[in-house]
Amino acid sequence: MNRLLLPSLLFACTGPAWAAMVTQAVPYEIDGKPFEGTLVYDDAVKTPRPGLMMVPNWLGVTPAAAEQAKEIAGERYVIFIADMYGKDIRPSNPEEAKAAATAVRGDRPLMRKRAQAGVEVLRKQGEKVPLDLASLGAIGFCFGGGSVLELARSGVPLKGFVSFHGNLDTPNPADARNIRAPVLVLHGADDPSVPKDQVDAFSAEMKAAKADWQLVSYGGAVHSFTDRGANVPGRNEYNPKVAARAYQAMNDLFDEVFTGAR
Amino acid sequence: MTQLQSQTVGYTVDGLAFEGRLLFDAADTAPRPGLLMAPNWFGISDGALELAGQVAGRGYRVLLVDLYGTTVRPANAAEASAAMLPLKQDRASLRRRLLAALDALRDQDVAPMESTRLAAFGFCFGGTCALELVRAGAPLKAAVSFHGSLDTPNPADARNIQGAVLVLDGALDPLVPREQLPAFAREMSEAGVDWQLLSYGGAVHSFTDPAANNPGTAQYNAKVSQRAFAAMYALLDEVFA
Repeated sequence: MNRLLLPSLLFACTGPAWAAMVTQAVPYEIDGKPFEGTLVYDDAVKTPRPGLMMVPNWLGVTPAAAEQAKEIAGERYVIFIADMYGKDIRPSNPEEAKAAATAVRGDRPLMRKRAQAGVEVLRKQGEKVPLDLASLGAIGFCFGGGSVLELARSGVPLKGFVSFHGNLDTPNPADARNIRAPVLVLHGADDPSVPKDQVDAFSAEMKAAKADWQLVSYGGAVHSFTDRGANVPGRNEYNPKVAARAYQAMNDLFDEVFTGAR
Repeated sequence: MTQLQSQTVGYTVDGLAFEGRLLFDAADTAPRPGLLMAPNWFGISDGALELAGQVAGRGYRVLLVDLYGTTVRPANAAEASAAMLPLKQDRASLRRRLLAALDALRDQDVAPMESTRLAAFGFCFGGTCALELVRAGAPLKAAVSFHGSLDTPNPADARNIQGAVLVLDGALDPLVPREQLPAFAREMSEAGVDWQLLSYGGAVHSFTDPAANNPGTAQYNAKVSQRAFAAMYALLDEVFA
């Protein structure tokens, strides 16, 4: 289903001037293996914009992830959705997604390498679209939030890192001292997938490293609160109010760090 | 051009006279939301007036609350502590004063105001006040605490809360004991309150106060202060939309 939908989105690039949102498949390789992410931006904007590397949730590069990227990108950002699995792995259900995500989450060097590759592919898009290369950040959702934090710990020189309902654990807490930009964690206070001991360990990790970090706990929110398709009450459920707040918090941080970059 | 003005607003509680200060932009003649600002333990100080003026300049009618009475104006930390402590321990009295101030804000006819669009915010002790006021069931769209203590003798009163609650907390604040955070989260969640808590890494107490300069205890943090005010304005935009 997902694989059938994606090409139709690709050819639906051109639209009226007031909604020229482009969705474009971008193939790339890591160690000779094929990957394919999605570039999302508003083609009506001709001035250089900040760029965000986005790691999607465990379902990977899907039409739903592209829709979410469009919602975030608006006229503000160029977004590249990274492929964390490889082109031949496209989970079609939660079981397959869990298997794919668990393999990457269990291999943090691999996770970092793939997230870093996503950043490099984003940078390259500056050759095609108006991209402000001094204003790059990373965002991620669920599994992708955890990946973005791991990317931050790898020391990559972006301007900001934002995790939406992502896991906060790492086998390498000491690597937090490599973090080179503000970290913002947007967390559902009742998220059963990101338990309080992870929040406490993350706070301790960030404090020990003296990182520039913020953690927002949203009352009444569980896992996947930004995901329009999430509908399991008490576990993972879309929460439009909290999603809007979290996007606002993200935009406020990027306004702060990207302004400083100019 | 902004024409920031300040006008005294009097009210009486339990036979005692109080005098708050209303800050507003006189050049802005449209009705605007009303905000109650509870200052830190120094009460109505130059620093508090400065802050209230900055917020008023964003398009709000701001009443800076007098919590001590017209005859009590602390000149130093010892006097501030002496004025604050009895009030902090007598939440019933504290609530009466806050509710009277809110009435005074709602009834003021100095600056055009949308009297059903009200919120409260406060700093340090004032943050505690904003939370206590919303727990009292005051008709607020939002209550915002900047580095305030989160404890209350009346956690069950959280079910009276009508608006959104936003807590802006320094992750290293030694004056807001860390065990207050999970207790507060529990209190809010059990009551089904619309709440948010922001933990700011590297920040201690008084991070919004340019005069605070005790490293590790109470210290101004320009970056975190800016972030916290942005968070408050984002919430106010949302609830007044």
